[in-house]
Amino acid sequence: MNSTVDSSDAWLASAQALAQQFAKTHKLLLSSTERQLSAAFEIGTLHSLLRFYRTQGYDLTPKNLNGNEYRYLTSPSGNPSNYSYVEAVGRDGIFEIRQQVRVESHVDPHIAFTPDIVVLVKDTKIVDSKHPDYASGKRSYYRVSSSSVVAAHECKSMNPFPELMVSFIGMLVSAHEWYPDSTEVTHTNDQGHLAPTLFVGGSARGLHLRMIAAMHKSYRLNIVCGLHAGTWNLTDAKNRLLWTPGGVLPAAVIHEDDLPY
Amino acid sequence: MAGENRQIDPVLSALIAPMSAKPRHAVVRRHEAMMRELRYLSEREVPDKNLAFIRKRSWTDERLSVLFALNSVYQEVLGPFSASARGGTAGIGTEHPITHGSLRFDSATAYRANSAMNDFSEIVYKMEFRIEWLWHNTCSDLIYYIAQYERENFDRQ
Repeated sequence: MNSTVDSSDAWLASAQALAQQFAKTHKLLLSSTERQLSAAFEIGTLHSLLRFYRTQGYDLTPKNLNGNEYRYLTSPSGNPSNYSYVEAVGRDGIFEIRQQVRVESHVDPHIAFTPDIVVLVKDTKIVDSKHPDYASGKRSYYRVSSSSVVAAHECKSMNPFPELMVSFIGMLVSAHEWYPDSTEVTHTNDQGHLAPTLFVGGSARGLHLRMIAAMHKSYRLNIVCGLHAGTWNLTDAKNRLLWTPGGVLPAAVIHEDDLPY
Repeated sequence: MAGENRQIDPVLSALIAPMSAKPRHAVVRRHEAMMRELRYLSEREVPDKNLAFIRKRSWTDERLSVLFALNSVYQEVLGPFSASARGGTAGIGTEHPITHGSLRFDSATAYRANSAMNDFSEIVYKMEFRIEWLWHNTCSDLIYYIAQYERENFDRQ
């Protein structure tokens, strides 16, 4: 046996010992279920969004707490009124940052889906009704109108790929009555709400970065990749908006030079 | 040659031992995909130049396999979990613990995540890898960045 093989074997044995020790020390974390991991990533995205709102000058207050606890709505089958949310007060109004609220589209009421996080205008009416095609009419079908949605965000703890990115356009079009150019919203690259954003855990490079830059230029959305790599600062997400009901300010189109890539 | 040895990587084996079924499957699947790509890059008609270069710099299949194992565990488990440790804005996740169904995310959860990340980074450092190599998605991405790093080091020597 030569010395290269010896040192390679020793290196591998050392790596194995470190991994075994790590697995022993952090057994609890490593044994997290898929549901826990998915929840953790979604909560991480919420933290990131809240920090962004603070940098944009919004005052944030958790509302509808359960005692001292923030009760996170985990599924659209729950009544949003029973769960916590964050109130954001800014120069363009008062808003509610909520999780897992079903949105009924202005395109057609049968188009309804649940973004991971939605920013709604304050006191948005939560409609509930029983529907024979939903839980055999036994449970309420909760939803809000897309006319109240400022921005719907989606979190994906996976690698970015073209079909994932392009499918987010469907959510942009269906969940936002203001899209593409209603006077309800003023588009800006300055302070304001984060435009509808797809948060992706994996990192992008090469052609994917070019695609993301092109989508930023072409649509009022952001695609933020690399959250697993620590990309939690959203200042590069340049597509932003202000809620201006009845406003008439012209839309500011993002310039290529301002693109983050 | 890469991928011919079907025995599971010992580092991967140790790290997935405590995992629940679905995350374990996701980690193993990711590691296998990276090993398959390594085999393809090794065996294709025009061999990958970056791979050929790093092989001359002592990057064996075993060493790459260990890196792929750490990358896979980070991407599938540690990365998503440590995301929840970045709380504190408006007191959410700290002063106001988050209850997510039967799950709870609070300061203790954040401490556990940060502690695991610190220890994991220590393994990466001791194995003479770079932390940013945990962030790449594919075998060829990783090999590209390893080759770039080795060339920079090579130029300095």
